[in-house]
Amino acid sequence: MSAKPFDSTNLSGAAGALLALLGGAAMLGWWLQLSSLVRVVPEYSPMVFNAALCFVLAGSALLTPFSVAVRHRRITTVLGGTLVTIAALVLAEHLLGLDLGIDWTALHAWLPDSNPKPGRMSAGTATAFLMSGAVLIFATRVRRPWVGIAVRLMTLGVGAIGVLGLAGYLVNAPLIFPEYVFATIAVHTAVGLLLLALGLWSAWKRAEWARTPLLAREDDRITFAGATVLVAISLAAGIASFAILQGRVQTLVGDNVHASLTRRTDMFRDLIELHEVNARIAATRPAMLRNLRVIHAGRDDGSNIANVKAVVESFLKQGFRGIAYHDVDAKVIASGGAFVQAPAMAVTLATPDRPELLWNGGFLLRHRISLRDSTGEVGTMLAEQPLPVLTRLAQNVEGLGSTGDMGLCVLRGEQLDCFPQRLNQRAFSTPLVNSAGEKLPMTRALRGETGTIITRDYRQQNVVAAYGPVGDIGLGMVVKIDAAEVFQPIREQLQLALGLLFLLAAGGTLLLRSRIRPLATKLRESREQFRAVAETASDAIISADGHGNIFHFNQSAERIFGYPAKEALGRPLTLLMPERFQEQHLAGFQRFLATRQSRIIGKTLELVARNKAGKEFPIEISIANWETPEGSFFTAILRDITTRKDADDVLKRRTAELEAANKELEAFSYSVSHDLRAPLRHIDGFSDMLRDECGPALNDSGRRYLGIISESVEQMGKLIDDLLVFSKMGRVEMRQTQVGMDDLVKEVVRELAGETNGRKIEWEIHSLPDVRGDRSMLKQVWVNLLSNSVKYTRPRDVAKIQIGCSTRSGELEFYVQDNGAGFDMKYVEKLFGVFQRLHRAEEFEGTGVGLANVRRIVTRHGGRTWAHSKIDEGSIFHFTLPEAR
Amino acid sequence: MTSVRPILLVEDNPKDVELIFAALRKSNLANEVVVARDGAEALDYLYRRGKFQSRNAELPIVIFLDLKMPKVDGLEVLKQMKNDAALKVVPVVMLTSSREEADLVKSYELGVNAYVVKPVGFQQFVDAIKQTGMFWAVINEPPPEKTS
Repeated sequence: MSAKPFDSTNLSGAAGALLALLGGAAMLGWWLQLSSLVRVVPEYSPMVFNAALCFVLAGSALLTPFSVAVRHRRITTVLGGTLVTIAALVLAEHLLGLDLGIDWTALHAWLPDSNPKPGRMSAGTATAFLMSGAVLIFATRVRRPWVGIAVRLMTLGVGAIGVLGLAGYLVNAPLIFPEYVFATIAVHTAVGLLLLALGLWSAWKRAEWARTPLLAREDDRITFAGATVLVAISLAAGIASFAILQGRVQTLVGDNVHASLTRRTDMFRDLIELHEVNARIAATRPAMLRNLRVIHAGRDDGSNIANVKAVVESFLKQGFRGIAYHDVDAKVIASGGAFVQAPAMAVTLATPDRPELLWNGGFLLRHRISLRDSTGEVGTMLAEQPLPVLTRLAQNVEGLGSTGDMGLCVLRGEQLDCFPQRLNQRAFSTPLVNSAGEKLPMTRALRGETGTIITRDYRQQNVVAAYGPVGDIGLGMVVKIDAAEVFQPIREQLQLALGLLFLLAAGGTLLLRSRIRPLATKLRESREQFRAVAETASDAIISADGHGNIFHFNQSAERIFGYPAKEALGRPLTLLMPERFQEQHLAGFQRFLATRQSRIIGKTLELVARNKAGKEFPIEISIANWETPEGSFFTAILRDITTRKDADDVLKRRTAELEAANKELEAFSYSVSHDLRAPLRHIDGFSDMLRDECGPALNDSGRRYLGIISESVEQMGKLIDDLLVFSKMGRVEMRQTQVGMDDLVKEVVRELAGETNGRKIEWEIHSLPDVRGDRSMLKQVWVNLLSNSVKYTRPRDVAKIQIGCSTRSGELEFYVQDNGAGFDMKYVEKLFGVFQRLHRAEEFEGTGVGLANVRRIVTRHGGRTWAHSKIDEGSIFHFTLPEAR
Repeated sequence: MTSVRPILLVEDNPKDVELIFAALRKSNLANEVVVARDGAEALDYLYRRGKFQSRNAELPIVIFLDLKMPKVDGLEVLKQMKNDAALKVVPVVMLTSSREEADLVKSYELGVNAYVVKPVGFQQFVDAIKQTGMFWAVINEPPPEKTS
């Protein structure tokens, strides 16, 4: 591992700075009691002080160069350790139900919040910080693969908690899924956790251990990515459809609740009014007033009181529970029924008669009306009417489900006094706001507002509530239903839908995998094949991208250039060239990229390369180019041709030497032809002149000597001529043409006629094919062979000479057979040598050059020569030539 | 045939000169034989320079020219002659030991009139010289001499 930072610069640094800022702002907010800093959206959960502190710690760690260097590692480790400690303590509080006094409760007191433990970090957030701290500690200490995997998973976990927290807000989880663990994460805490995960990831991703991908196989990676996308799509689709559904249900239920409220308030008012009218009727009957006056005046004849009692009785039958008439002295004149002595609750209504609304196991309306006639006050009437319809209305919230309820309250000072309702059978009082500090729906109703809302009610339960005042009689009414019940069907549907979506995602993943596997296998096979070829090729194979940077460097390239692949990868191609060619290369490269014109691509060239030691050497190179959407790529296949070059040089030197030798030979033959002949001529000339002038003076021996001199001169002249022909056969350029062997042989036989005069020779010449070769040279071959046959058959009475040809494995095999003197096979090796003779000159004349010439010419034509013979029986000479094509 | 024009023999080897003289003698030619011992001397003679300053103006009836000579060789003499309007009409016979193709080709390219290879055998040599001498000095009609 290298000690340099993991390149924790841009992203992780920026994330760290943002997180520190986020946490710092929240901490400041708690101290300065600025609710906009601790909770960005009113009524949403605030980021608690400890969470803010953790963000500051984590942000600081991300701002530190992230590396294995001891100094840096110590800082990240201390910060990570602190995070782990705080988070672990908070989790312990949650799990064990303890209060360790680390929640800064006092600091959070000023902000009304639904958090049952003010200042306590949510379990989800604590888990995220626990994992973040662990990542900070272990990312620089990955010694085993599983630690790396754990770091990756924990980072993923931090991000996932962030996402789940945000998702909770999208589906309004605090309302609908109160048991959802991540519902209590503040929205900006969730964003912060996402950012923290991103920062952690970018901090460790450049570490050495992180370079080996978690999934080794590419198809697994693709499948993983595909699965992630599928899950994300499923989640998004689920959440979106849920949000739509929720919106619709909310509207529907809200409308329903509101309609119910309107109906009830109307009914309520009407009933109150009706019973008020009843009471007024009872209080304003003129006969009654007259009777009361008479009774009060003491002029009752008995009939008056009886009348009053009869009226009381009749009213009791007409719906009054109790009714009593008093005279002005408050003396009871007549009374009937029963009156409520200690009602559970009594509220004076703001109507003209100011009746009291009582609760005594049911609603009652109590009137106390003073009785007056034209002369003045007569007395008072006390009447109680039960309101069974109203009671039924309050107790029976039909159509609103099992948690549907109707509340009826009155504002009394700083609290609400409420009549018993279906879910709460006792009268009760409650503050004006819920635990989150929001006005209760009833509070709103009593303030004269009408509307529908989703909020927490006095029970701190989430409800869908419609609220409004009951006319202007001072009562407020709320009709509500628990959110949990409202959203139960969609919760169930969501669970089903999510299950289906996950099944779909799983199915999709399997399908993806089944399609990609064979593809990846094929790809891997072909890549493996290419790799095997490229790696084991004896030629260097080097690939470069459109910037001219090397990305493939095989073993042979390593060997030829001396660079390990590690050193060459990513470096420009100019690394491998002598400096003087680099500029030209770059210009050519740019030209190619601009115009797609190249003088070198697709050709095999000889160039000069430079190895690591700086030594230049010749190479043979061919370059191919291919295009992909990512740009141009190049592959060069090259080999070191130093050895070949050396061999070429040797060959050139040899050729030069050979040419020099040839020149010498030419000069030699020239001097042979010119200079050696002159003295011969002189010997012959002067000896002849000697014979002419002094012949008579010489004795026989002298004349014989002169004769020998002449013969020798002639012999030597012939030798020189043959030698010249021989050397010429080796030197002169061949003029290849189509040569008809039939004609050639006939021509030679014709020319030999001079030598065969008077002899009996049977020629048997088979048909001969055409060949390719130098006509004059091939003629020389036939001349030599046939004149030999003619010569050596001289002792025969009838000479038989046979000429023919056969084809054998692409070669034409010619032969000349005679019945001549033959030769000893012991000396067959010497037969084709220069000046080699197997017969004495007295027997058969000759210079011993003829067969040497035959061999030389045939060899130059690419053929072979050989011979068989038996002394005194004859010889057969063979030569081959390549078949004419 | 009042004035018999001379034969110019250009030959560096005195033995050859002697043999050629012997051969020519046998052919009974009336022409004077002038000998130049190398190419330079031959050109001196043709241009009447040096020791040939005072010779009369007539051109030789034929020139027997050896190929291989010191100083200026036969081919060079031939080349200069054939480039000279006055001299190119003089018949030139190469008389040489060389049967080299290159020499033959070059000579004919330069416009030689005949090419005779000196035979090694003396009899044949005598015959060749005789015939050549007879042909060029007697049988052949030389170009008319310009009298300017």
